[in-house]
Amino acid sequence: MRFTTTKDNLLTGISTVQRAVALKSPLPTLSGILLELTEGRLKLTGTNLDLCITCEVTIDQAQWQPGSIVLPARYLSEIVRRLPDGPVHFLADLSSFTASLRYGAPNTAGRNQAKLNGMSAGDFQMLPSLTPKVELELDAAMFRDCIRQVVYAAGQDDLRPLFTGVLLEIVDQELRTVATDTHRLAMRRAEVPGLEAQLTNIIVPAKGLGELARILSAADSGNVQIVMAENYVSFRVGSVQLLSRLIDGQYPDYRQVIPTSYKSRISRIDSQMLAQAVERAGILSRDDSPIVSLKFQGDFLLVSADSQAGSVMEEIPAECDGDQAEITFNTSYILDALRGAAFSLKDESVSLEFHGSLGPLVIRPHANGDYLALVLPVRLS
Amino acid sequence: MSGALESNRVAQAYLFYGPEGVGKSKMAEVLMRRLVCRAPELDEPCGACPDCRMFEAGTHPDVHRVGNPDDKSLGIDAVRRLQGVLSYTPYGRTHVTYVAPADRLTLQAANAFLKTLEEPPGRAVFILVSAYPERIPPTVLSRCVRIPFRHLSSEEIIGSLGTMGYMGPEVRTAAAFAEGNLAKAVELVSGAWSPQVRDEVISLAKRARSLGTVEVAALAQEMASRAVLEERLRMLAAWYRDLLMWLETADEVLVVNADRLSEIRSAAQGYSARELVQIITRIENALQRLEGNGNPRLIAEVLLLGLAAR
Repeated sequence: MRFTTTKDNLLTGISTVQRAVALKSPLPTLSGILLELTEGRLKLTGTNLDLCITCEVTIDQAQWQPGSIVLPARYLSEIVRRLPDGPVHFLADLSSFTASLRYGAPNTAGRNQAKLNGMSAGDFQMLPSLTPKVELELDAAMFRDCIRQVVYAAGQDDLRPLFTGVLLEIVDQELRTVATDTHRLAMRRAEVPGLEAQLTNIIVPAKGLGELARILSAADSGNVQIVMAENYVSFRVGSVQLLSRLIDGQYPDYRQVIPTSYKSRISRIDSQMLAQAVERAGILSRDDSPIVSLKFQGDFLLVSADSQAGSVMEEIPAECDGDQAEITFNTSYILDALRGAAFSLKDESVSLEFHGSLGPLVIRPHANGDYLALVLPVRLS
Repeated sequence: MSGALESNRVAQAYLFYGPEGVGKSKMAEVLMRRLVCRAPELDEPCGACPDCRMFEAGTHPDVHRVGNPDDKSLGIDAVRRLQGVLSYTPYGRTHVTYVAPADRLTLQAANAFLKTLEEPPGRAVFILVSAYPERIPPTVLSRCVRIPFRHLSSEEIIGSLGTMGYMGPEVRTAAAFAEGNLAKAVELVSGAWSPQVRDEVISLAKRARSLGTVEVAALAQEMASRAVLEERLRMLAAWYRDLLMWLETADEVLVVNADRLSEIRSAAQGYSARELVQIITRIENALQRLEGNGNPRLIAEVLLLGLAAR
């Protein structure tokens, strides 16, 4: 097996797939990256069996020989990261499973080299091939926002695995992403013209989607192809493919927890000002979990917090509707929700809907119905 | 089992129960391998597909094992971890979970396990293995299809040992000592079996009547470890059983220590059948007390003094 490419190409490929590599896996081949070269195309694969990322790397078409080998991810990436810029010649001995990278100035005649001991590609565990059930193609940037706007709300608690996933739902020519950890919920709706009306929903682990958002950010433009199968979902963008296992089970009906009316409302408030005020107030709140109080006063929203260290009190001009006594919220929940809403803002402002001192706060972008974040208040004893 | 596999009507949860060493785990392994195999032929795994290869290497991502033979108890953490992995869709055809020894599940763990056992989030098969099913909460039992495994006969054990390549007179003795437990028979015949220990026990039995108190104390000290005492008690029981058999039937086929026939013949003369039955009962009692966590040294002393003071 032999090929020539540049340091940058190789490094991009390696750092992309390395995110899925299980560095501490009990299976030695899983801590490695699979390099496959067939028909002049070099494909790198990393997987921990929950998540699998493959990336194609451009190589010099003038000279190559096919083959495949598994190399330890950590050493490979550390070496390639530190190589001098320029061409890298890769040569692998497939009988002894060793690979050498030759690099450096042309006049050294390839005497500079790093040798890595690898493993047989035959032992590498791949995720099985898919039997597609639903296939669709979406704008990559739009889909990236759909993920980033909700993924923060997914739970971390492995004891409730269902909530560590993000619901992807196709309903009424609309793609919906929903995540909740039962204390907060975020939902993004994206109209996709021509999307088939059939109802589909899958639960994708939030970790895998986080990686996907990263990959989608790196890809400048274009589309993402989504293939849903029974056990897996595959996302392909440009030369990168991400395959994730799904979470089994019935996602709770999120529609039930989204209120249809409200008790009191701020129809419009500057999102930036609110976020900054909440952030400042959070500093002078209790240390363990910063909380902040919100209250209506005339045409202002009062943001306040106090603790032994001191107190903060801010007034933000707002279009208030109804009466609202003081309600306390977790600072980071509000900030996360405002950050999520930021992708859908039309005029830098959001609307807040309150449902009493124990009911949820619903944050929506002003004059834009495609996003919603719901936060439960903190119950003070 | 084969029928269920061929017609694709595998139950969600099985309990394999029966004495130790009769093939419960072996059967579970075969079943698990068949369940994960991608291209099975009727009830046989193909042995060639990636899933079979991973299973063989012990790395199949859908195969989850809870518990080790040495575990004193299986706690709720193990069950929670399992619930975590089961929430993902399987890598291949189905999740397969192996719980052994299932009787070691703590009550909390068993209760936490109930819901998963009855309604796993996705496709999953559970195989519970236990030698003491009576220790498993009925709520767990009732959710499993129960498959009994029985003791093997001496002939079956001798046959199995034969196919494994063990021959000779010690095979017969091992089979008799193993009490229907193939694993134990293999252990006995493949090295753990020490003719020396048996010689010691037999010579002890022969002078049992004339043992002095000091000698009894010394012997009991030697047998103060649980495993040592248990092995010796079983050999002792087998010896007296041989004497009884010989006395009653004089049929050498029924004798366990077949290679010591002449000694048995002469020793049997000194006892009446009633005495032998009493002695065997005493040894059985000692074994029971040992299993009930009695002090091994004390048990040995009481037994030997009993044999001597007859």
